[in-house]
Amino acid sequence: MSNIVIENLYKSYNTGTENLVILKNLNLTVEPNTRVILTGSSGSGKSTLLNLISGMDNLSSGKIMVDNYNVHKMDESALSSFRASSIGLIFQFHYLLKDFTAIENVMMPAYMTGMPKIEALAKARELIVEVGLETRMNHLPSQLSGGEKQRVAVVRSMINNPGIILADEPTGNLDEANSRKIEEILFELVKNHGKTLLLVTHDNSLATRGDRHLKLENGILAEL
Amino acid sequence: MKNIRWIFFTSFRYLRNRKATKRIGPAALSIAGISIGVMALVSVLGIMNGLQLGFIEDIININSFHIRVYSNQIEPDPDTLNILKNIDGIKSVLPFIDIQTLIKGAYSDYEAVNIRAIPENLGDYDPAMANQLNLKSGDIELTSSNSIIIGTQLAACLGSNLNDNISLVSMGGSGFKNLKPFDKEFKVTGLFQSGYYNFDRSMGFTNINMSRSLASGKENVIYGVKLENQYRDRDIALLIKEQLGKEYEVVSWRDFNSSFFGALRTEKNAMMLVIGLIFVVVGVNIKHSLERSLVEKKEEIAILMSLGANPGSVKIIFIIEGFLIGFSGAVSGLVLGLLITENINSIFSGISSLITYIESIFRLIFLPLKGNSTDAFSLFSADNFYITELPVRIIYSEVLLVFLFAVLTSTLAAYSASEIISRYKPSEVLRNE
Repeated sequence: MSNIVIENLYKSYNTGTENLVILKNLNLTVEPNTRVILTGSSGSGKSTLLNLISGMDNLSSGKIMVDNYNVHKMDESALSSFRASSIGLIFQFHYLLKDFTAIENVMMPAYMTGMPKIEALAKARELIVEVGLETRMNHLPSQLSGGEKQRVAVVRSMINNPGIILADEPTGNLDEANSRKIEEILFELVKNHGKTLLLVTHDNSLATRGDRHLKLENGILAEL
Repeated sequence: MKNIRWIFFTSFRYLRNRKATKRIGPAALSIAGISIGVMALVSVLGIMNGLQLGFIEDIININSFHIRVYSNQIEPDPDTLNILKNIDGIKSVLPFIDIQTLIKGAYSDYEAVNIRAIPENLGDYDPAMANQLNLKSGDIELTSSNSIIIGTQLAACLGSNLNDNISLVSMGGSGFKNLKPFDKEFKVTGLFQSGYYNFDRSMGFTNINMSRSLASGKENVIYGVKLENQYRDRDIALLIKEQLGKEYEVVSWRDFNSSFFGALRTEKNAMMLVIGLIFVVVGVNIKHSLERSLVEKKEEIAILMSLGANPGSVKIIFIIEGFLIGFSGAVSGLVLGLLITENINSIFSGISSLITYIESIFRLIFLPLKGNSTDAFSLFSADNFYITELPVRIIYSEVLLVFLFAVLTSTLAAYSASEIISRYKPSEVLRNE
């Protein structure tokens, strides 16, 4: 059961001429198995917050605990292991590896953690079948449609069975029909596999599908 | 490292896809660069070793021996000979006397010559020397007291041939003021061609029994010692000193030839250094090529990191690529280098034939009335060069060193290029893509 606890989080960037504060004294607790929808205008710091939770960006001050790990106190190697095993990331753009087939893309995070290739491929196949891509699993990303690529990215984030899925506008690059499909798949998988979801979106209609709806404006988080 | 498999999997996939997408330009250039460097170094070393070791073996086998033992004796002493022969590690001992004198053929002027008076049956005393002299005609045995073996170059200079008579100058008379030169007649019973010009031009071998009639009386017997292992010279020189006593002077081959051998070593090191610079150029090329590849793959690297790959593992992916570039280049360079080295004389002969052929075509076009020249072009014409064939010697430990150096250069270049990965922040890269 994975939870997120954020205490007194500050994040600012030094642009050279000024200190740009993105997140101000942010506090948040996300209970296990909760689906949290985070909305806010562009540049409000939503993606930055996800990057900080996954340890891909450095905070200015404060503390982020994920599954009792203090994310920003870990060294490079521990952080990589944490990212591989505890967090599933989905981006607005699919970010699949161009030189690898759909199934290889899905199995890669598992293979990285030391799982034997055959086992990782079998697990990847199961997940791919779950999202209806069994006929496309040996295709390269360049041979898949936008929606198919994003479906691959969604199941890739789940291969290592992480407790938390961080999704940064996963439907932002898709048309209406594909967006709905991805939403369905994502919420279905999160429900079936018992994940904690933190989903960033501009789409207010998605807010109703979460257990909680948060809004980030001017660096301040508000519960709606 | 349990997760090394995905690193190899990814590295090989990147290399394979480079090929598939025909984007092998920079990698192919790097492989070609390494290959040319290894090929050049292996070939040059093979030829240089052939020439230098040829000289060194001539000098050691014919002139300096592994150890020279200078005595005060005017004739070989069987006891000394026995002591030396019984020392462990000594292969052969040849007693001899060196006499500097003048030589004259039937129709030539006097020429300076170093006469080495040796036992009648050289082959029994020092088979390596007998072999190295490379007798062209006649007999190596100095059966008759007036037999002499001379070098082919000296024979040419004297206008003499096998079985011709030549004269050596001997000084006779009582007291220094009354010394007068007398010619002593010898018969040429052998002609040698060691391949070392100085020896072929100015050395002769006579029977040691005749040495007194030529010597001034101040020349003493020297024992030329050959060892089982020439690199044990210093240990065995000490043993000889211990067993023979202080009245003998013992000089090892390294000390006897230190300046010449030192010059040869310097020449070889300088040549290796100059050709080795190719690797520096190629290493820089590989580094730049991989850096470019890393910039092109920035997004992929950031994705791998976001999936949980640590920067060290991602670096290894590209270091493996550098290693494979170096390895492929070194293997192909090695094969080409060895082929060229082994067949260098055939290659030169082919080039000579080609030049002769082109020359004959030009003659036919521009000088049709003069007819064809019968002179074939030769890169190593006997008219211009003492050697007409390049001696080649491949020392496999050196070849291995060149191979490892090439692979190491490429791997280090890749390691250096991969440092750029440490500066990538996945969140920034993915935000900007």
